[in-house]
Amino acid sequence: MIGRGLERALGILALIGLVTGLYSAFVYAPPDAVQGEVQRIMYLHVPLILVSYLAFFVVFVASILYLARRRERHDAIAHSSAEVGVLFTALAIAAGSIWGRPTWGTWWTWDARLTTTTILLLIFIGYLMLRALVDDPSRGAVFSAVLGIIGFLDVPIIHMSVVWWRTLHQPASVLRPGPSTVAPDMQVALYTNLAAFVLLYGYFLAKRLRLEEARWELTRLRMEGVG
Amino acid sequence: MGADPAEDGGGRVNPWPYILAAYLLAGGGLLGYLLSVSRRTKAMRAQLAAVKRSSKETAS
Amino acid sequence: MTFARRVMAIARKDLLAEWRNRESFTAMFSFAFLVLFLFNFALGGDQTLIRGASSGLLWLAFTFTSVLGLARSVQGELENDCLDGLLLYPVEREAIYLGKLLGNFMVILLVEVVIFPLFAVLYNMDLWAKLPRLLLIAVPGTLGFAVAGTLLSTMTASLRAREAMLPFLLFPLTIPLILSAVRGTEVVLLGEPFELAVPWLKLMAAFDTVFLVASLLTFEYLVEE
Repeated sequence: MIGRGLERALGILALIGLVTGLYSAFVYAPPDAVQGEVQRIMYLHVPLILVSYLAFFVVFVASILYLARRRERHDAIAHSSAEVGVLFTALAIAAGSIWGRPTWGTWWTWDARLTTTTILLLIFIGYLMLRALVDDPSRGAVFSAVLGIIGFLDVPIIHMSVVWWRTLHQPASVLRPGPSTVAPDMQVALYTNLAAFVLLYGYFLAKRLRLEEARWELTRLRMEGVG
Repeated sequence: MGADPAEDGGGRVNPWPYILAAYLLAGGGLLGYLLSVSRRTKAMRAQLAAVKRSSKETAS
Repeated sequence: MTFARRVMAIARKDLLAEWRNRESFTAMFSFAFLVLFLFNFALGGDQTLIRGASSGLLWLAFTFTSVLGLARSVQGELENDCLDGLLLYPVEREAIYLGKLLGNFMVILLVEVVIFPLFAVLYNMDLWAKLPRLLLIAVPGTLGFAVAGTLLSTMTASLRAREAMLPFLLFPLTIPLILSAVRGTEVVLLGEPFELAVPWLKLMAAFDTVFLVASLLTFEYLVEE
């Protein structure tokens, strides 16, 4: 699927990207005018969230492809991307929560983006649990594909509903916690970190795919009555 | 909302423990995941090798 | 037989089976009633608090009751191999799905129709005049729940941990419904102008449409073999 060479290249590029990203987040970018130094967590939180959305989009596409073509590769990509996506989402929420504590005085706020992201996390944890519980691999693949599709389709609806729920529930003076990336050097830092995390996602996906490859091979051998 | 620590330009609360915590947590989580994937792949490969070996034995 | 009649036949089969022993309905109704009854103790007997939270409490009761009903409906099919039998017939998979959906939807709605007045009696609220509008909110919410629930219950029916998996998969997905139904119900219960409920109705309609289409397209894969 993904050759060792490409996997290694992705790993090295990701590492370079992350180091550059760290530098831009802590040295290059200035502290935020309003939030101060704490805002630097956003260079971690925002890329993690955006890349997790990417990961779940990949699950969505791979799930559709699997239902249409039934190629193991698509199922492998869906499963791997879901796992990496759940990891990135969980870390994003944790980082956001840690950011929130000194900024808002609370570990949690029910703001629209954090709420939607948590729901997304729950949906795809459910996806992984479903996979773990279905014994027959091809049936599990089909079920997961369906769940992956409807789960992702639901995300815009969830987002809309939570945003409406918040704005019609609270007065509009509630500020949305988020990156105040107006300054251009802060934007540079953000995009650098974003690129780094995309590369990291690619690397993780490649590594995780190897595990799926091996698992599918094992399944095939078992089904052929070997061992 | 009550006393907002960030209101005075981030003066009162020291942000660095939080920043460190966030980045260390993320780094730890990412590394931990890499290790988990490596471990699981190794285990899966061992299983595969065992299955292939036993098939060779029954074949010969 | 046209497609619509096949759907009706399947729905009728489910509803007739349910009508014969009314097991599911009784279980669901009792559960919903008990939950609402327990709210009194959960909220410290504070009637004002309960009336204030009534829309949320009602829908909490309805969602848990719906999961009960959905799980039982599929379990019945599995135990008697009905689904396999049904699949042997040259019926479109979409008709099976729609028939089951209709059956589930009607049972859950019936429970809600009975629970609304009972809730009003328990917590001394005047609901009769509001009942038509409450149902107007309840129908799209319940429909959406049944749409997603019928699909997911088919998925989880054969799992080991099915009792835990169905709610765990269903609830996050249906949060837009629960949110909208609670807000819409609140608008009606507080006597606010009905236009305030319209955005929530639109949201529920959007959810129902997206999920109905997605379910119709994917159901056949869940029951293939």
